[in-house]
Amino acid sequence: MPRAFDDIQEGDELPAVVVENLTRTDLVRYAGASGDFNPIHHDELFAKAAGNPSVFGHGMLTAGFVGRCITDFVGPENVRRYKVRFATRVWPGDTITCRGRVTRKYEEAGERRIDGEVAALNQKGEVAVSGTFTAAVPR
Amino acid sequence: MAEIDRGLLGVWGPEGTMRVEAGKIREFAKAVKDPNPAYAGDGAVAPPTFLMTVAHWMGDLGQTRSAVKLDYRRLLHGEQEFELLEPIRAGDVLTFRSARRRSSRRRGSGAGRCCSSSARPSTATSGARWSRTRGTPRSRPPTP
Repeated sequence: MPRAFDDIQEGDELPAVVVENLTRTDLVRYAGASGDFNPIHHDELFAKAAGNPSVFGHGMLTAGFVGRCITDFVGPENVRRYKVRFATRVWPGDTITCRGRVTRKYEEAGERRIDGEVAALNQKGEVAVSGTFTAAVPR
Repeated sequence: MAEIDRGLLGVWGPEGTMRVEAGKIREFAKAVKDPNPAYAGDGAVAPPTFLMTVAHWMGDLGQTRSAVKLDYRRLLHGEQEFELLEPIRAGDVLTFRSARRRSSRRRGSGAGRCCSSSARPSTATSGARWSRTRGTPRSRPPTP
């Protein structure tokens, strides 16, 4: 359940999301759902010919996992802004842990809002995605 | 290195439309492994990164998409930003358009580009306001 504004404090942690053992099938499913058919994400021969050890994940797939930290906290209809930067790439077999926290609580544009920061880390603790968000908190 | 037609930078391409179907939202949510019940059923709301799905139809519009010819072998995603003025819901008809905003070359990272896509739901109470997503692809330098 989304949290109420009065119950949120700056520094609060968002619910963590863990995706274990990412598979090539996960990549293909995201390609089909999103429409991003860059072959580097599903065609092993193409990926290797381009100098990669295998196919690798769409940055926006990881950004989708991270988005769940935000939407589990505020509800999907309340996200106003979401920005991600991609750092290290994500590979089949990786386990991705997504976390976030509230950095600011304020009122703007007639809404009660929070800002926060989020990140996705691989099993080695390397940052795959880092980001920020703004969300409304209606209650 | 990516080829760039500077005359097309900053030019909005033609508009396209996409009906947001409940099943498409559910499919996208499953792809990002999110079981939130808000993404299921006729009243489904779209996940925050759902605007990426206009990629299915944007390519058919031509024109500004060809401002930068991408080399998929060296393409990396740098950043993506979403400004969502109101939630996208099942039943909306999105009007969308895109533009390549600028292009730059950075030492060590080849060509950096920024492109912008906008989408406006038919049900928008906000008139001409567009939700926006902006992405910055990067091109890896050629392997020495």
